[in-house]
Amino acid sequence: MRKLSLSLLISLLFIGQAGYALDARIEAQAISPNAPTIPLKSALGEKVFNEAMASGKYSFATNAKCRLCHRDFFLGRKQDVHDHAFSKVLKAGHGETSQCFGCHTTGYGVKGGFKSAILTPRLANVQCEGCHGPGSEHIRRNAKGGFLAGTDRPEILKKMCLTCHNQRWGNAFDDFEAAYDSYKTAKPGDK
Amino acid sequence: MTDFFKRHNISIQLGLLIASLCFFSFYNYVSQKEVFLKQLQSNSSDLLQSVRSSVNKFNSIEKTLSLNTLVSTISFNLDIFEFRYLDNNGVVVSSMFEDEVGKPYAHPGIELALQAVGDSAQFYSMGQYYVEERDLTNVMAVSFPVREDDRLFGIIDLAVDITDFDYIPATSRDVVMQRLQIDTTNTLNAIAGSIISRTKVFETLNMPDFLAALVAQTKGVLEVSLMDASGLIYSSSRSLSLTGESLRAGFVSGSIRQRVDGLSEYTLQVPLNPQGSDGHMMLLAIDASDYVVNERKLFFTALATSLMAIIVSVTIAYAIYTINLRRAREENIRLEHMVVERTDELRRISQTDKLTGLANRCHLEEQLDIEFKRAGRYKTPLTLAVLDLDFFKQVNDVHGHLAGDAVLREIGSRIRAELRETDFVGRYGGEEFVVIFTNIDLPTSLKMAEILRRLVEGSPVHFEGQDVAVTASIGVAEIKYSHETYKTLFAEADSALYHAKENGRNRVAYTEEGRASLFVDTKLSEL
Repeated sequence: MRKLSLSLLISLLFIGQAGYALDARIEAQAISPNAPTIPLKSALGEKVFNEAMASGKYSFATNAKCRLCHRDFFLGRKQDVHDHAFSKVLKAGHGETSQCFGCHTTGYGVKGGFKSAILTPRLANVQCEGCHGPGSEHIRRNAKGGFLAGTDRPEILKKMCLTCHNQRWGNAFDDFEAAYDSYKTAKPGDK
Repeated sequence: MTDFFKRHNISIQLGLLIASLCFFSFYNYVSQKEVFLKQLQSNSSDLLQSVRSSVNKFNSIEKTLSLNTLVSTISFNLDIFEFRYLDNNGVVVSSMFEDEVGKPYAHPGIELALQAVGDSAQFYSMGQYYVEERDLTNVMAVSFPVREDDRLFGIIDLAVDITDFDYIPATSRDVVMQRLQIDTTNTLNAIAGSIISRTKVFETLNMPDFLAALVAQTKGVLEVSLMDASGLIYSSSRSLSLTGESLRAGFVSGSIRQRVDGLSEYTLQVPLNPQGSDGHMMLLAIDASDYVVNERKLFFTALATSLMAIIVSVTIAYAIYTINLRRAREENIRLEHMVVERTDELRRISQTDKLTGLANRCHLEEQLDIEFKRAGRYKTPLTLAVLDLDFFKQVNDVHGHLAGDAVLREIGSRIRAELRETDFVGRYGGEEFVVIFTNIDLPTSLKMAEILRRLVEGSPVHFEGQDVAVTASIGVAEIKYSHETYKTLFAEADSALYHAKENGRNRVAYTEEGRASLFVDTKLSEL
C-alpha cells in the first residue's frame, strides 16, 4: 500500500509537469555520450557510405533547387511536419544540441550537410535530401536516379525512415507501410 | 546442249573468268565506295551536330540572352529563390521555370513597375525591396528596371530566400537585411549591365552574319541555311540578296553534287531543333571533294582491272587457239604421211612376190598389160622373155625345199641385177620368171635372154655349204600387130619356151610368125 501511494505521488509529480512529459527521453538523449545516429550511414552501411562520400560526387543542393523541377512536392513538403522538424528542436530549447541534429536536420554528419543553424541555416529541417541523400548527382544527370536513397532503392529508403522513426521515437504512425506509401504523393497530409 | 559446252569449253571458262574478275573489281569498287560514303556521312554527322548546336546556342542566346547561366555565375553567393527577366511589355523572356517563358508575368510589383514607366517621377523610384511569401517561403523580392538613360530594356524580377532569418537573433536582422539588399543591388546592376550589352550585340549581329562566320571558321562546311516550316529560307550563310535565290533548286538531302565553284558538296536537310517540333529545317552543304576524287579513282581502277582481265583473257584465248590450230595441222600432215606410207606398203605387199622380192604374177600381168598397150599406142618394140628353171623338182627333192627357195631367190636377184632400169621382171609362178623388155627389138632381147641363160648356168647357187647347179630355158616373143592382147604375146613366148624345153633345155628359143625356133648366137657363145 505504501509502495502504491509512493508511486502515485511520483506519477502526480510528473503529471503536474504535463508539457514536459517527453523530457526524460529528450534530456537523456541530449546528454548521451554516444555519437548521434546518422540515418544515411546506418541505412547504407558504413562501407558504402564512406565510399560514396569519398567519391566526391555527392553534395547538398537544398530544397530550393529541388523546387525548380518538383514544385508540387516542394509546396506539399513545406506544409509537412518534416519541414518543421528543426523548429520543434528550437522550441524544446535544444537548438545547439547536436544529439538531435541527426534526425531533425538535412544531412547532419554527412559531408557538406547541416552543421549548425548559424553556419548552414538552409539545411535546417528534414528536407528532400534529408531522406534521399545529397542531390547533386541527380541534378547533374538531369534524369531519374542519382540518389543514395532514391525511390528506386526502397529497401534503403525505408531504412532511412526507420532509423529516426525507431521504437524509442517512432510514435508518429501505426502502420509504417501505409505511412510510407502516403509519402509517395506530393502532399502526404491530404488523404 | 552438252555438245555445245564441250565444243566451247575454253570460251566458257574464259568468259566466266572475265565475268568473275569484272564482278569482283566492280564489287570492290562498290564496297569501297560504301566505306568512303559511310566515312563522309559520319564526318558530316559530326559537323552537323556541331553546327546545329552552334546555331541553336546562338538562337537561344539571342532569344533568352542565356540569363540563367549568367545569374548563377554572378549571384555573389546570394540565395536566389526566383529570377525572371521580362521585356518592357511584362512578358517573361527568361525564367527558372521554363513554362513561364513567353507569357506575361502577373505580379503586383511588376504591374507597378510597368505603370511607372509612363510616369517619369516614379520611373526612377523603381527597384524598391519588399518582403513577401512565395511558395510558402519567405523571400525578399524586387522588381528591378534594366535601363539606360531613358530607355527601358526590361524588368528583372528577383526573389532572395530569407528563411534563414528565422535563425538570426531579432536584434541583428535589420543589419543583415541591409547588407543583403546591398549585395542584391550590386548583383542586379551587374546583371542589368550584361543584359544591356548583350541586347545591343544582338541588335547589330544577325543570324546570316553568324552563319557566314560559322561557315568561315568551320572546316568542311560550305553552306548553312535555315528554312522555316513553310519551306522558305529565312537565313543563310550565302547572301540571299546578292544571288536572288530563296531556295536552291535540287537541294536533296543526302545527295552529292557538283557546285558552280568546282567543289563537290554533300547536302543534308535536318530539323534545326533535334526534337523537330517547330518544323524549322537546317540545310547543310558539306565539302565532299575528297570523296568524289576517291570515288573517281576507285571507279577507274575497277575499270582498268576489268579491261586488263578482258585483254589477258583474250590473249590467252588467242594463244590457245593458235597452238591448237598448229597442232591440228601437224597431226593432219602426219596422218596423211602415214596413210601414204601405209598405202605404199600395201601396194608393195600386194605387188611383190614374197620369196624373191620381185613383182608377183598379178603385178606382172598388170605391168605387161600396160606395157603392151603403150607399145601398141606408140609403135615401140616390146619383147617378152619367159624363163623356166630346168628340172627344178629335182633340186627340191635332192637338196630340200629350203634349198629350192634359196635358188629361186638367188636367180631372181641375178636377173634383176643384170637388167636395165626400164626392164621389168617378175615371178610368174613356181620356177618361172618373166622379163619385159621395153623398147628393145627381138634380136637384142634374144641376146639379153642368152646373157640371162648364161648367168643362171654360169655359177651354182651356194646353200648351206652345198653347190646347187641349175640351168634355165627361155622363150622369147616380140609384139606384133596381130596380137590382140598381151595374152597372145605371152602364149607365143610360152610356146617358144616349150620349144626350148623340147630341144634339150638350157636354151633360148623364140617365136616368130607363129613358128618357134632356137636361138644360136655365135658371137655370144664365144663370150
